[in-house]
Amino acid sequence: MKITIPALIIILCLCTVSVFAQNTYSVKGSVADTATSSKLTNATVSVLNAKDSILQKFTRVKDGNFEINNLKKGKLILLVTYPGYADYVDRFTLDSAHTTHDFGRIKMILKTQLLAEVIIKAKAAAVKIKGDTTEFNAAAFTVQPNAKVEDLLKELPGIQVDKDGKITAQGQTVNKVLVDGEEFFGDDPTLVTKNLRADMVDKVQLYDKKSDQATFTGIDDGVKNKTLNIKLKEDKKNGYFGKIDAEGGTDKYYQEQLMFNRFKGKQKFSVYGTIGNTGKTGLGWEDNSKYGNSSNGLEFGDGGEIYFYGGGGDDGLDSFSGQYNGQGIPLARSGGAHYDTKWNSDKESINTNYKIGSLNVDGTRNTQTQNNLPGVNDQPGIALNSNSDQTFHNHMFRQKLDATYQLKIDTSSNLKVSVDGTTKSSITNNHYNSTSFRNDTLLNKNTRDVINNGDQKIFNANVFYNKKFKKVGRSFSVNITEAYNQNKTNGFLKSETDFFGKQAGTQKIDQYKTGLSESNIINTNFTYSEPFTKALALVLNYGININNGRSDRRSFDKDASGNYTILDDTLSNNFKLNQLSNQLGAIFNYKKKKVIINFGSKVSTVNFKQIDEFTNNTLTRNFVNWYPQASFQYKFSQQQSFRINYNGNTSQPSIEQIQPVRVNTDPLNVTLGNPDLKPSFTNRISASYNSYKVISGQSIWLSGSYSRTINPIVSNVTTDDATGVSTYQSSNLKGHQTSNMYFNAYFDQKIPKVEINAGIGLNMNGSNYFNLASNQLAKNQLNETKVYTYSASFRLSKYKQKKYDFWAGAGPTYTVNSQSLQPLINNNGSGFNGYAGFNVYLPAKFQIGTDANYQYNAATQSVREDFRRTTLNASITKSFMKDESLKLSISGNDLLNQNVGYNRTGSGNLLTQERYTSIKRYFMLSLVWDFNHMGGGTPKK
Amino acid sequence: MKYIILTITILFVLGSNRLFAQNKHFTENGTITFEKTINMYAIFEKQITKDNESFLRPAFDSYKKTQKQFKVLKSTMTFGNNKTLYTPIEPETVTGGFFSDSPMAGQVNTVFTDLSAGSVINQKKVFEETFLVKDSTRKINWKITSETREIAGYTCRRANALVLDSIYAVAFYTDEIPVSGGPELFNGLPGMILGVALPHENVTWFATKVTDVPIDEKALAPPKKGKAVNNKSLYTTLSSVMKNWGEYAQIYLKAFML
Repeated sequence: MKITIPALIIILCLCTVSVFAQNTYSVKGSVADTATSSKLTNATVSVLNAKDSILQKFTRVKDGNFEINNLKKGKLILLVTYPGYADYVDRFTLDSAHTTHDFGRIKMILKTQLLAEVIIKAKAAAVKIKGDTTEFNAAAFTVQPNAKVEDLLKELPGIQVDKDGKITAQGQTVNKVLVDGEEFFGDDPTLVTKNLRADMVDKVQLYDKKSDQATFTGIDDGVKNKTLNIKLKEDKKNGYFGKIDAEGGTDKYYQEQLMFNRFKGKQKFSVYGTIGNTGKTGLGWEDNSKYGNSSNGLEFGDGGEIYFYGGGGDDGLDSFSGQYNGQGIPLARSGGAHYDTKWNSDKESINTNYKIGSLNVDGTRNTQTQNNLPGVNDQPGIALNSNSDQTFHNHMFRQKLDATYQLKIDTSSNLKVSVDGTTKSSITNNHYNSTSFRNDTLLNKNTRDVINNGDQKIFNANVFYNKKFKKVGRSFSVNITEAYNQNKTNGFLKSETDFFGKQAGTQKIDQYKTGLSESNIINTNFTYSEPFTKALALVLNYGININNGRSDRRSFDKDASGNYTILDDTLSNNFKLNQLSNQLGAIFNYKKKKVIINFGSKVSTVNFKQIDEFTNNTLTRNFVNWYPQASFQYKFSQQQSFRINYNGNTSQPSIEQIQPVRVNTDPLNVTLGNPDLKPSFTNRISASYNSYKVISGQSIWLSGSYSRTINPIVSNVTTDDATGVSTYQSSNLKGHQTSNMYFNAYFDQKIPKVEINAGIGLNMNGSNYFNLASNQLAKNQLNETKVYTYSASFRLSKYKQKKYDFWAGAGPTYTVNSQSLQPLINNNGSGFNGYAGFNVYLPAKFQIGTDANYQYNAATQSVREDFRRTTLNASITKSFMKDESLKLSISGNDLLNQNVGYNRTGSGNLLTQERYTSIKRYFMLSLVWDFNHMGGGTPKK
Repeated sequence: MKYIILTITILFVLGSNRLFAQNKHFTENGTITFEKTINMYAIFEKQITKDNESFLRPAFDSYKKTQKQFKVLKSTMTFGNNKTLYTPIEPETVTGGFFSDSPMAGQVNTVFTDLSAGSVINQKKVFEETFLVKDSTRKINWKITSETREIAGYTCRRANALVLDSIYAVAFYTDEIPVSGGPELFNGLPGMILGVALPHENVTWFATKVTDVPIDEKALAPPKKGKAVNNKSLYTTLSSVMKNWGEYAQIYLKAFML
């Protein structure tokens, strides 16, 4: 074996030679020990270029001799090494005169250990000693601009750097130099030009054993070495950026935005203000992360899993996309300020936000309702139809202040404290005109005004502490939350209803109503995780939850003097619902290679105390609620996985469903609470599979879910056929389970050559609900509502970076929306949806884009007319400046002026169609300037 | 019977060492355990640009709170008869995606190198596809230095080079193992490479253990499965796939071609 290796290398070299080289340059010689003259077989002989020490050829000594052929001519270095012997280095030249060089017998010398001990006199210097770490502050030492790190190290007391870059600290050789915890090898300036400059250094730390720092950096080879860690300065940012967006359009549409952000070291400060009536109610997601709360976004769990926080969803004004719900014409004003900073080596941070805003929405809404009534002997009953026109003027004003403090106590424990407070005040003013028919016979006519003023206060506080123990996977955490919510309302209900037919007459209501709803929730949760093996862990948790709620609703009629002083008992109630629960849980987690399994259950005992303050009736009930769960996940690869999941969930009735009070805000549709409601229990199973093939550009995504609810809380209705008045009350339905399901499948494939992505999608979602319906003819007749939607779509898209992109898609839909009480007059119907758009980057920094949406819903037995809508938007943008920071654009919204608000739904025994005001055609000229000035930064590594 | 043959082989190998090596024992076959260490913080931070920092900077702070700075992956190399087989070891638990699924932070190559023939068969996993890259050994212009350090009990000499025209590599080889191989596709030094650092890519490979054992020829079988390509056709395929990936394309291409 020993013979063959060098032989093969030589043969290989010779082969190459025979093809290319005519003049072969070569070296030869023999290698032996000086003292014993024994042959040093297997000594390494290398030939390097003298100018850059690049390795040309190497061989091993065989039988004491070596020979290297096929070398290139020039000035060369011969390097002979043998373990335990000093290196032999010799310079030589090969040229046409000397095509070969014979080194004769090279004598190798055993290494003699020369201990050149350097005694360092330690100077008194301003250095910090932390445990076994000596820390030097780089700023305290002066070096030339563009000086290298080595020059800085030379300045530090107790540290010497020799001409080869070898570092000696406190008399001992430094074995390792780290930069931000990672080993620093030093660059070869002839190969790379990047350099670590002295002005990039923040601190230099010197430690000589496996200290905290060494453990923290994770570099531990078991050897206690003198180690130098160079901490670089962080990218310090001083500067500002901002955005001015001015948009003015036709039909009095406008949108103005102003945002400004300033960095100063680790402090970030930003303010913004927006006003507009185009439907933007705040900052969009991108601007929100720049100018708003920077804690939105990605967070990482202990296992590297990723959590995504959209944030702002509960703010009422700035929803995720910054859009209101599209009903009516809005006028939104919003403003805010943000401040965050970090200190104490980033161990502590604070993040605080203030937001203020108002939203006015004005519009009209037309609602057509079909109310299916039970018939006799299971025959279909009759259907009541009503038509309602509503005009609304709503106003809301809101302020919110939040602050989050985070403290990294040590490397294994963290504390997070966050508080927020919100005040909201709202005025809603609604006017209704409605008529109801039974088979073209007029039943009633109603005119109604509802005015309501609301004042809401919300306060939340949260403390989270977690601690990781030395044993991997063992951890403990405490989470304490308090949530307080108070909502005070007062308002007027003025209603006049004319009844026709058998019970002809007029009902007039003129009432003053007050409401106070309050809830105070305190949750505590302790979690302990214990690993049994590397793969299996148990997560135990215990929590006490207190949930105290109150709802006080009062209605007053006018007295003789015209003041609202007479309390209407049937419409008034003061009710308390206090819940105390103890929850215990045990969940097993198993994680090995590609498999993740978890299973277990939580169980809570709930003490449910209902107090009617009007009657002093108290009802105390105890429930035991179970929350079982199990899931199995298999990760075939990073891009392919399968998951199946089961969970059982108990839903408690809400105070609104329980409070024994009539709500007559709509006198034709009255609701009544049910204090005897019990929790319902839902079993849900869901599964998903996804695969993404990057190279072939193919992706498959399948997901589905099915759930059934036992003892469901359903909304029962009693309708008076003669007047058309319906009363709704919830109850637990025995003997029937409601169900919900969905299935989605997507398949996408990139078509090679043309590089178009083509995809098909199939979607289905459906539910089966039940409720009980009563009227004069039948009592408690079971009504089953089926709502199923099926859709298929085909889509195409192409994207070419900075050139163009386009997309298009279309497909049919079919909706089942039927009720067993009225199987013939259902809302089943087909439909069709389509969309398309493109963006093109033109020369001279012009960009044009357009997008269109088409919706078609066929007529149904319930809704006799079909619905078609095409919305078309287009824009042309011209960018200015080198970095395209200034943009001027003209855009057209809803060019065909067809954007009408439209919605079809079905629930209980109602089928509903809505049409409402929405933003239609307008043109807008806009100028957006993104400005920024950043300076004073430290150059990057 | 097998046992006897094995014993005889061991005896023979031991015997032959005594016969020829007078001064020093040279390890010509055996196994090496390597550890690949990736500085995840540095890799993450490099992806932060002016355009995404409002989003990625807070994400990076969160990452630093829960994740370790260094990710360590193990691999083994078997060598003998001037052939090497480098095989990554799948980690026990797979940590979640995002930055950890970047190819620089994983191990995609199973490499068989026949140093005598100068040929490489590299089974490379690129997303869902497995390629079998057959090509000649990578030609690296190593610059030999006089710096030495001890790795896994062997004295190693430092050499520097540029790999793939732009990646600065620092390698440490030992002349006590007269096999010119190394981890991944690093080779071409006058001895076994026991350490490689790519300082600007924040990645290192270091041997933690070298075992001197005879290696059965069967243990040095090249990988067989995969779509047959060479380095040039692989580059063409990958760069057409990543054409519209923007700035991420270069990061991925570099890591996959390495």
